[in-house]
Amino acid sequence: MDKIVRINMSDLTTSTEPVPAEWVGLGGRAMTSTIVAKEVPPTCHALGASNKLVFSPGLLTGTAAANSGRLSAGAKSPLTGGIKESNAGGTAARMLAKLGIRALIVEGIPKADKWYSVHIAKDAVTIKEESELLGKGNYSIVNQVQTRYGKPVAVVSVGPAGEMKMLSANISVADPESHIRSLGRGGLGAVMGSKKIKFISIDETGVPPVMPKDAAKFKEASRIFAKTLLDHPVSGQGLPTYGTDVLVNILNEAGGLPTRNFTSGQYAAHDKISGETMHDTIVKRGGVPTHACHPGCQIQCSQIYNDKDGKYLTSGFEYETIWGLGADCCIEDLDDIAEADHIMDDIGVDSIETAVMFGVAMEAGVLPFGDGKGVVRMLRDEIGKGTALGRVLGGGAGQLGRIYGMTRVPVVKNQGIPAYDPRAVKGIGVTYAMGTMGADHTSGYAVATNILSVGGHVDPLSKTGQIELARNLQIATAAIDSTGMCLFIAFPALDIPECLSSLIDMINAQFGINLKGDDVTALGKSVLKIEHQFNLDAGLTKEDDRLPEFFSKESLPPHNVIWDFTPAELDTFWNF
Amino acid sequence: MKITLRLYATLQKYLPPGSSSSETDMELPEAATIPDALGVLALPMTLPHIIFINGRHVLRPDFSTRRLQDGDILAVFPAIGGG
Ligand code: SF4
Repeated sequence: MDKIVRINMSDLTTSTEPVPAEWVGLGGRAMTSTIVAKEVPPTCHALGASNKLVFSPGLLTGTAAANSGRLSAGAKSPLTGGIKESNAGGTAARMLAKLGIRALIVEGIPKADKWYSVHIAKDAVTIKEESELLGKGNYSIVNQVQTRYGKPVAVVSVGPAGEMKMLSANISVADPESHIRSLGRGGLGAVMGSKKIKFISIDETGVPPVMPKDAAKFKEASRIFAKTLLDHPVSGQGLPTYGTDVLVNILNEAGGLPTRNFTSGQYAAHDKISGETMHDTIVKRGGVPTHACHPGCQIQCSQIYNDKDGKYLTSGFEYETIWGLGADCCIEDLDDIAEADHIMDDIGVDSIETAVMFGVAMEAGVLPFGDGKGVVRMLRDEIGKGTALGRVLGGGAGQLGRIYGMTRVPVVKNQGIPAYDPRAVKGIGVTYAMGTMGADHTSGYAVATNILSVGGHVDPLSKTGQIELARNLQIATAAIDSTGMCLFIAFPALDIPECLSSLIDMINAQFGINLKGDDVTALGKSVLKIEHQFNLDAGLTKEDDRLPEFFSKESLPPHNVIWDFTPAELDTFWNF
Repeated sequence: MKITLRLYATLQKYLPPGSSSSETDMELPEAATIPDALGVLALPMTLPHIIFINGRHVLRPDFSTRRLQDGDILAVFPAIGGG
């Protein structure tokens, strides 16, 4: 039976309740944002007892639907001061769904200065005191927890950064190989750390698979859906071959690859950090170029990257991380970036926030541009150990910029701007400005239409059509984030009509309901509006829906463009 | 006239042997088109999905007719994505 599980850390109790009527039909981001908006006072301190950390598998998670295994986590963000949803692959979402847990709500803060773990199994949820794994990194936590249970239980954990409640701290989720995926953005690891939970383990032993109400209809829809993923050249060939890092060269070509702390749109050493180079390096060293971050992912954009000696170095090595430490920090050596990626996963910091922070730190003179070894050292010995400098660096780009008196600080709502310069890719700029999450490319990926010619083409350098594009994509994304689907299904969905219709058919067959395309759009709109209202109630204003001033003052080579949307133009985003 | 051609992702295999990892210089007759340039390397026009000249997109309807000019940088990609 579907249920909501609550974990109250103030009195160390757990409880289970049926899914209330108004939450039936919600999953993923729709579930986490609805619960946070209903139960968390918007003005509360994000690291205080009133905040709640909510996990929810998507609507289709646990079923046979391809790419449906994403886990959403939501809370009030200590980084942005607004609502946050972050999602990732790994094995946890599927296990929660199979256990019938539609949402796991962590509330309160322990009275004693002690740390805990939570274990979820078929008939019991238990809270235990934890001391052995304190201070440990995520790789070692996953390894030791799975050894303790003698099986590949799902593990959701925080590293030292989460324990120290750093604003860049993320939450890690073990993938099928016991490597790390991350609920990256917005400092959710600090929220988990504030509740003194080092890890949550989930055991699916003895639970049956998730069965659809109409198995035949589900099977047919899921076959059509999977075929569209295979047929589209991006999800069928591009992503599996090169991973997301294939974007380095195209953003460089388009003049939208933020370089040297957002002072240029092109990086001279782009070839050294490109997806093509990464692919060849992986193959040469016996790594795995095509890998799934969760069971049932058909696209498989992930990879396993080995070091020079052929030993595992990192996985889930994404474009945004490589861009950030590569072009933005001018580090040319992909091995240095890979080592930094490994450490970021292990100590549990968001690789986007941290890379953007290092770009600002380099401009501030904390370390030189291009100093890959310096970044590795600071991650391990300063941030990872929580030294005074480490605490400064671990607070993200906005905090670093304030402390060092910098003006070129690429953040929106205090969250670091990723991988696509808003001056040269104006659609994504609208998403950064208006998104409820702070600067987040995944919340309305206008790069698809501005740069990649997916879903048509809207000129990236012109203002025309960008607000509508970003609005429509943000609405669609809020809905997709609620299904448990990986966002990369959006590539086929933007070009092949059967992709979206078969997705809706799967939801209908799963739950025995009759959703139409319009209902899905309505769900996306309502999620965005709930989130926007939470942000307003938390004290954010429309002045927070703006890009930093330097984007409209400093022109970006090679196209020499500035950010030229007026506040009034941007505010029309909310006209829906 | 002389142009620079850059090929990326799966199209890199069409580069002449000895090219740097993604680009090659080319001599073309005046007023040559994109298919003329790609034809030199036997790259079929069915493969390009995104084309830039000097960092600006060439729209698909113009793929086969757009003329090149001396000094142009022509960059060609198959369908790719990420995020
Ligand atoms: S496509 Fe990539 S990010 Fe999406 S589910 Fe698969 S491996 Fe994970």
